[in-house]
Amino acid sequence: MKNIFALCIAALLLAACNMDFYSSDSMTSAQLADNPSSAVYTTDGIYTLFKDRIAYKGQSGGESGNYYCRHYFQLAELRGDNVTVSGQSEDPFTLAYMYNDDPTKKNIYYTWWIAYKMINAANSNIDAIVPGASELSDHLLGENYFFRAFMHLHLVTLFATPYTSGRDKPGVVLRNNLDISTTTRATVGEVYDQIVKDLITAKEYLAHGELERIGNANEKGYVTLNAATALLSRVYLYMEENDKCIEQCNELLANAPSSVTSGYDYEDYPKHTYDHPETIWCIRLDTSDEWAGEHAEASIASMYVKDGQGWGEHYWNDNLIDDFRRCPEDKRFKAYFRMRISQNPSGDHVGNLNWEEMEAAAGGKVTVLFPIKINDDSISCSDGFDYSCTPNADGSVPFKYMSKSYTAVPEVVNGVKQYFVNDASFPGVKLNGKSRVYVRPAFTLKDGTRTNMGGTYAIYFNTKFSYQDGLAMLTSPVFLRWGEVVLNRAEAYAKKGEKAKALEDVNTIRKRAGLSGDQLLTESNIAGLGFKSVTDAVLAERRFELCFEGHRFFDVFRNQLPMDRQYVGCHKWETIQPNDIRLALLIPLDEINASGIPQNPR
Amino acid sequence: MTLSPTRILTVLASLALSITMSAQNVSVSGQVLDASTGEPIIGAGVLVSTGGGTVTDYDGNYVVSAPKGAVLVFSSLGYTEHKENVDGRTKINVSLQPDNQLLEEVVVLGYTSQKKAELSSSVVTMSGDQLRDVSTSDVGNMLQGKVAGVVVMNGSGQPGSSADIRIRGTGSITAGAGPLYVVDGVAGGSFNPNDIETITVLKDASATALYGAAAAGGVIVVTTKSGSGEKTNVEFKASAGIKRALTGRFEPMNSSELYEYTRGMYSKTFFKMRYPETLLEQDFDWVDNCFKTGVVQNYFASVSGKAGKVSYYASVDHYNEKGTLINTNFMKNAARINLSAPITDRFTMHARINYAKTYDQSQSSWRTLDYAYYAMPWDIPYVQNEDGTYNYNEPIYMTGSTRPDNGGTWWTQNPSNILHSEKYNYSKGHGEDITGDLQLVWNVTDWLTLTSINRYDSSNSYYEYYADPRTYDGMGTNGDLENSDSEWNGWGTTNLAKYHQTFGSHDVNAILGWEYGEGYSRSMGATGINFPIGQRSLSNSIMNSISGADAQSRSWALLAQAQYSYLGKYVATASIRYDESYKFGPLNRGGYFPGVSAAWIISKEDFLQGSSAISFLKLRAGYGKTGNDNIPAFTYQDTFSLSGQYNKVKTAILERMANPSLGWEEAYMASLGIDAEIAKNWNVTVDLYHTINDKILLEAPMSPSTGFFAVMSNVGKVRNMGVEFAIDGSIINNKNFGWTVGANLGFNKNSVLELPEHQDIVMNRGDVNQVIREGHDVYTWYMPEWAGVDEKTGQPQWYHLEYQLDENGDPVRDKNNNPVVAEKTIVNNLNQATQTAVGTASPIFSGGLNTGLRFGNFTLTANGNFVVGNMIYNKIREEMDADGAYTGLNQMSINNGLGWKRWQKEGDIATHPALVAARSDGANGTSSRYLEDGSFFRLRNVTLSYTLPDSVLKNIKMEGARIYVSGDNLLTLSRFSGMDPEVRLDGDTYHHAGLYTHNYPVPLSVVLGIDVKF
Repeated sequence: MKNIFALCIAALLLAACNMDFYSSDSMTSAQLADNPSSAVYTTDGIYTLFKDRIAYKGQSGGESGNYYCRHYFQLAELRGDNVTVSGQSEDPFTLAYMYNDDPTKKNIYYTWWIAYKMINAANSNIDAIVPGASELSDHLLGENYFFRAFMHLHLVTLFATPYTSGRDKPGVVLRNNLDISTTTRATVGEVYDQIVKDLITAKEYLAHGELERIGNANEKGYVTLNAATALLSRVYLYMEENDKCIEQCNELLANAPSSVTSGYDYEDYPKHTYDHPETIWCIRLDTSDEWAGEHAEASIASMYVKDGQGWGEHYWNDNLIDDFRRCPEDKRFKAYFRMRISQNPSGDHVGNLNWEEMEAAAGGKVTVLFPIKINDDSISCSDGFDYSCTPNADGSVPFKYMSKSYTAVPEVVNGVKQYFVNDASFPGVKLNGKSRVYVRPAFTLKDGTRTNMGGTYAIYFNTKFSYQDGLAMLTSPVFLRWGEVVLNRAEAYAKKGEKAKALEDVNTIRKRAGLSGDQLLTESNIAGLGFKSVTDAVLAERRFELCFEGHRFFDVFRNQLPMDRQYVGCHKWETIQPNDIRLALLIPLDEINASGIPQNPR
Repeated sequence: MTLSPTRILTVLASLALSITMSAQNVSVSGQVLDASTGEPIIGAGVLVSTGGGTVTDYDGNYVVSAPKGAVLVFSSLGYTEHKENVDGRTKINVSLQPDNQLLEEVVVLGYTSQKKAELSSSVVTMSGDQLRDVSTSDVGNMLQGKVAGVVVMNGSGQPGSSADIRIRGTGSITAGAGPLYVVDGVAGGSFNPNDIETITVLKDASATALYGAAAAGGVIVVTTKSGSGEKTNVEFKASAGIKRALTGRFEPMNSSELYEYTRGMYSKTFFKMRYPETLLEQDFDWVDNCFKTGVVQNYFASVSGKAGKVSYYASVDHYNEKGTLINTNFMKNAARINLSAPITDRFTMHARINYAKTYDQSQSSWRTLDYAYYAMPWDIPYVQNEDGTYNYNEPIYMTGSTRPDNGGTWWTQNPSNILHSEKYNYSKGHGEDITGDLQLVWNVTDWLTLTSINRYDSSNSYYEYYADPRTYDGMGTNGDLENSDSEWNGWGTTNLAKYHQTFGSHDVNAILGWEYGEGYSRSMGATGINFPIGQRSLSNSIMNSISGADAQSRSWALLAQAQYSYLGKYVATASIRYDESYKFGPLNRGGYFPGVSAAWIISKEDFLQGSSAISFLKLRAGYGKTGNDNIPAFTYQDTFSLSGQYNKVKTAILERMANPSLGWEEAYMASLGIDAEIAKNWNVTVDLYHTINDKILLEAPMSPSTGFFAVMSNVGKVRNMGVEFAIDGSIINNKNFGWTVGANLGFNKNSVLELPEHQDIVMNRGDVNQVIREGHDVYTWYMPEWAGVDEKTGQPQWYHLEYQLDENGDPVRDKNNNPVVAEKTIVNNLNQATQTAVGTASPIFSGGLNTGLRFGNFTLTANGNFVVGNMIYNKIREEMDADGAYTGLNQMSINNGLGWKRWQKEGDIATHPALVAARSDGANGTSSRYLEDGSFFRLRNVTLSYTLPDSVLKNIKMEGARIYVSGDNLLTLSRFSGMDPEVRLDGDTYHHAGLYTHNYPVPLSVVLGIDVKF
């Protein structure tokens, strides 16, 4: 009996020795390395990091919208001058919009952390993949060099001052190998040099072969040689290495798809950026992603349109609308400008109206709206909304505000038809002694309610990130496309003084957008159209072509230009100078607390 | 053979019996048993009321001669006396209840039991009845305020939620710091509060070291009831009552307050335009409509007794609670059966089965609680009829800021009406748990017992979420349905050899044990979208996502304990345990956990013998080491998550760095205690302790630019030291009137002793920081310090600090390890302010008070608990006391009795800055402005009960009957501005201790109940 008991104990003790357990829903690096395509899994993991919500300190559950693409597009775009944000929300994107970023908020720490997580993954892959082993592995290596460059570029443009403000200014943490034992801030110049170096290496590896796993020849969801070349053209442009920029653009445009010149259906484009000839590289989203399904209310589109799950809190800014309205034929405005109404005046349910449909519904009626100050902190909102206005024969618009009559008088300024009220008693905000107002088609719905201009803001939606697979909240966000490449070259030419070549590139873009005749630019007509220089015209075109895609902030400040933000919105009414200390976002406090690197000044 | 005093007594009594005879009497025989163990009592006295008597033999049997109408009185040392009318019977078996009042009381410590008088460590025992005054399903809530040095806080009023328990402070930081439950002798297991016979809290490491793993947070030993006595006992308990959410000082603005508030931040013209006076007619009380009257009911029945040789206890229990927040509830049906059967005279079997099924429902969306706090009173969430009235059965569907019914504005910033969502959507689940124990006891010899406790535990749970396609939550995907289920199976065996022998004045006890256990868990879940209204089946929806995983675990341990007692006066105990944990790397799995303690029962010394002032006095001392492995599995490995996909292909993301050196967190506790009984009436206990937690398991923050934010590490040292007092006794105790009082108090001082390279570690949770800094409490708030409101301008102010730097450019530290401030300036923008250590979330002291009044058959009891000196960060105020930053969220009234005042004009001394619409200076950002005194006193329970007198009971053939009315949380004294100062105590990956957000407040409840016994 006792012997049996002892035997049992011995047997169980032996069994107890095996205490090695592994998670069934994750793999250790050793387990993954046993897998012949582990580098494919880990490289694809970087693509996933752009679009998936990864738990930062366990906050993923409660933090909707916490994914890289959304934060990046918001941080890049909302600090420009294309968008109006209607009011402060708990979502920290409003802080970015107001140039009042908070280093403890998710948009700051998540963007920083994920960018470095991608860099860390790229470094690990670069360390593991043996060069020359196969076409596939070389392509993967190229992709990883690309990602290291791309993420460093995002970081240095968001968290440091522009390259043109000085190479020796503090940049970001440079991670070009697996050593993470020390953390210091490199200079802006050092970061850019590494980016250039990595992109040149990336191009070498990516040139070695096509990536077989892409499958569909039209697939744009993976990094290719074109993507690396296009990004390098952008980096050289930012560094004002204009010749090198042109060289990269020429290399690319020699094999450009026909849509670069012939154009394409702009409205159709966001529905399938992932296989569209205009795209060079996008992040592929599909209906199985949560931003298409249960968390669609946190997609990039959700802030631009309301259709269904959207919040619709970012609107077309009034000035951008008026600038576009100079050329009503511009397909880009027609394609993406929408006003959402639930009914039209005859009571039919309708969806998103474009400008022409708005005018038709209004039947000649307009309303006048304008910014007013609501307190001394320069916060403004739009006001006005007299729905019964009919313009006079001379184009002026009589309207009533707070029971008093005023007249909005048109005047062409910088080629743009603008309206002003010249009346000392008028409560609108004065610029150069006059109050600028905006005139919009307006109508009353059958049920007596007004169009959605009846709130505190005129609400105009942007559909550039919508309607993939028929879903209002879904698109595959584009990071590199041909339109930008053409305009990169245009800007480089302009800065070299090759004005005709610059304008030729600009006109390529304008032509495909449906513009012709005197709407195309020549050296002689640009002054009349309100452009101070060819460079000015190129930058304006970049704004039209790339608006909402996260370029404007960088375009203005890397050219050391001021940005006029005197328009309706919950931000400060001001012009931001290129030396403003707020340009470099605050580095996450978690980083400062853990590594002690110096914070950006405030 | 040794001669024990009881045996001598037996022989003497047998001799006495032979000379006591009476001819008219009948002969009565029977057996006397211990009611708790079912074992025979040897040498129990059996006295006949008319004279004469006997004692029981080795098997507890007796034979006595008595007149037919006589009364037999059964007694034995350590048991309550018991009387039986002979009534002509010839066979009378009785079970004697152990007498808790005597010093011979035995305390169950899990593996062992020990006489209370001889305990050498700090142990508090309570009977089940002492716990069950409050109306709750959670045993943690029952312990609140009842044990010195044990802090219990419940951060949620969600029915079925459980409280956080901290025994002697918090040593761990991110690893679990809660106590280990030991049910019926084995760690883990499940129980129903109504089945608790006793509950014992082991506070000293000298006692808990025997549990090694996971005992760093103390041990709570639960013993469930067992069959007792020959007679069948039936008990029935019923209670029902109502409850109401406690909202404390928190009151959101009503319509007119908000109107005046809003007026204060805009120009006259703008305000007139935007905020018509008709708004004043719209005044919806969201708190009142989201929190309704709840209902709590509990019905319990038990039967216990003995059938043949088998003692049994069986119970059924139904608990049903409807929460105060709409759509929240909890229901539990439970049953237990405990059997004890002597197989042979040396071999006993105990079998126990506990089963419970729970159903719970919580609010369908996180927005429900948010809305309850901050929705605007101008939003009336029902469809307005043509005639201007509202249809209160029809919540309005909102997705934008324009109301579809009347074209008016929806003022709340997030345009979704949760009352509409709550009408259609739900989030609920149910779970089942069955635990079966088989305990075999083999009394091999008089001095050796082998015990094997084998437990199988199986549980499963199911969760379902439904968002109707008609609602805001379900519309985007045209319906959203989630089903998930999980199961857990585990078994364990605990095998003990117990030795006990007495050599004259020497008493020796020892145990040697071995434990082994395995567990297996599995889960799977799926979500579906796109289905017709009312459809609730995954198979009829479009698949959206699936998940599934399983995991295994294993543990084993060896343990040994020896105890020596001399003359019942000097007691010494030593124990050691070896544990292995699979949560650590192969080289660090083993842990040794020793413990020693000693007690000196001074009152047994000659110089105190017979003292009426000090009838009992004991000095205790102990030292022990326990371990903590309460962290998620696999954290020592580097792992890739494969949950993501790209372009429909699985992808791998590195989620964690490997830490092969990860090992046990260790806690070393030294303690000293005194137990005394003064004036035969007052029990006093004083304890001192000093604990060092070393190699603390912490998710140590990493610089995010490494791609990681934290790595699980063994980092640093934390010390807790404290003193505990407990006193209870009776002031008056006579036949008609009694008055007892009790109090307990625990002071704890926590301090971080050592960190890697002496560097501060900043912990960010929910955008609020705490700092772990040497010399400071582990829960030290870290944020800009508020400098009040500028009297001149009404602007908010904070401090900007410039530190004195050493030659390396690092701040010079003072003796408290704070950086030395070289210059302190006032700034008006939060971004320019400097984070600094500003108070702690740990209380300085906490405790409880209780009193009982007996007046005839009426009893009134009351108990309360208090926590003093902790700071709560009230994060709600970032949104709701935001000085104009949010114009679409309702604000809290500042007329809350705390003397708050808004700056209006130059010279105002104010707590609140001037109003600025949509402000951006950070006035409402995280700073010590929202850090509040978390001290409170709460009257946990008041119960008035009436017990039916014996005379009445006899007529209706009942053993006992009691009716009572009981009130929970009737009074709270606090200066906290939120709803409820009871906030979570644990800091983990997701929360800070002491962080207050949209909490579900605990309720006030009033319950009527009845207990009857047959």
